[in-house]
Amino acid sequence: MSNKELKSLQFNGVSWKVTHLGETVILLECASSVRIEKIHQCSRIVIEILGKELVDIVPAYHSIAVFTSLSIEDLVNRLKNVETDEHSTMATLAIVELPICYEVGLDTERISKHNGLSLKEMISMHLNGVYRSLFVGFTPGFIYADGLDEQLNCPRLDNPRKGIAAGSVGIAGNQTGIYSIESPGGWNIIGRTPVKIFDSTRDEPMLIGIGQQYKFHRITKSEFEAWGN
Amino acid sequence: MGKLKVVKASPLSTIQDFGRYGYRRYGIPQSGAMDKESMIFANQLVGNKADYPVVEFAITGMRLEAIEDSVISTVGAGLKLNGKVMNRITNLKPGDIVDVGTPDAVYGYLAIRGLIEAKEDFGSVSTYVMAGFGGMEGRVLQAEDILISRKSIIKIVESTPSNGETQSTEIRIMKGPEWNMLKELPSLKSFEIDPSSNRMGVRLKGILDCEYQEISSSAVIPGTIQLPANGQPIILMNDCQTTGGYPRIGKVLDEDLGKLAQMKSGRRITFRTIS
Repeated sequence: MSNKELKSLQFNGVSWKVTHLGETVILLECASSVRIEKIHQCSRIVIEILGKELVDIVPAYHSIAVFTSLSIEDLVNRLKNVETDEHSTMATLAIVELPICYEVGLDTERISKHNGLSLKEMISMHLNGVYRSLFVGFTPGFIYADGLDEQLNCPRLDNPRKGIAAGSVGIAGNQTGIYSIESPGGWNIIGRTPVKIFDSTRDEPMLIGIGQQYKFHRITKSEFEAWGN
Repeated sequence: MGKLKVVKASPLSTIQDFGRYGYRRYGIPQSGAMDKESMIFANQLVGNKADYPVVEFAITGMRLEAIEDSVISTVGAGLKLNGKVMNRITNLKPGDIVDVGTPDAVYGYLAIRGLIEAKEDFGSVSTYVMAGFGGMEGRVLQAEDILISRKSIIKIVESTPSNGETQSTEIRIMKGPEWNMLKELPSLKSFEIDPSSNRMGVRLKGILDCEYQEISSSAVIPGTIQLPANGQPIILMNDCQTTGGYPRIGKVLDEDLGKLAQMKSGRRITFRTIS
């Protein structure tokens, strides 16, 4: 089946395939070899260039969905051959530190067994990691991140749970993420942070921006339970 | 302006408006009325602006009691006042009991003259239960809830009824990013609406042959037609997630989404591809 609407675009050193995702949504897709930092940088440029003509933007691993009433031709013309110095738009955001309690992790045993680690080794490996938010999806504020130690990989649960508490830190294969609100889920839960990573009442609802790094420091179960009181 | 008490709620009665736009970057779904046209019509009947919040209900109707003088309308379901069958629009006095019937199709709408008071999150009062956004404390309506509408500029518009189940079962689609994975044209087959359809998605029975390949998570929107490995298409609807990993073979045109939402389970649809 051929798709004649396909266009191509050279923008910020990346070749993009341009198609419609919807009447007012244009999808830019690139090769899987393009690094996520580049996707984030391109997203920031799109935000800058389109200004008020941009309704929304959804970056993912190898794509950027641009919500705009512009036509594909107009968008391609606006972005064509725009290049930016590699560092000029790279936001150097501080690393966010999140408290984590492993005692309330539902799958600590499963994760450690799967990798042949003791609980202590698993915890210290997880605490050593620096994670980076790649994009948001699944539910409001759910962060997909990289930075997980290979030895902490663990396949998804066969039967997803009906309710996973907000703040649960999950592992699925080599992906890691944080549940932002209570929701069903099939990821292994290694621990929980008592901090609200997503709060609709805040001006900036996300505590961790896309592309921003975060790491954990350990708290005890009683500290976890007393948090915020 | 209007005040009603919910005596008996429908299991899926929620306050909805046109939905939230501009927040998919935070993973926030659009939500909003599943059948926009019926929502607008209900508002027009009581003289409200088209985008005023309404009560959307499904599966069963609901019973309400007027606490103060109110004007209400229903679209897509019958209406009884103190046991007597009424037209679409009714003036209520305190103590009046209103029975809103089970929706004729899938979703029914109740409008109250004035602006319904509701929680606003991210620029909309549409209820999104999973995150507790909008509506009545972010949840479905339940007995004893009080619906209050504030005074507003009333403008009666002459409108022609266009609600109820439509006869045409053709759904127009545009090609999606993974259209090329298809091994057959969607327009050559017919599909049945699956009963598990809801505000997140309409599931279809029927197979589309495709060279299946999972894609790395990428944006999806209401109307996106996903094709999972089993070949049975899922059309994402208002409360859908913002990213997904199934091939996106097409998208239902925005104009046809309300019509699709109102298709009862068991009905058959066909696709027409628009280029």
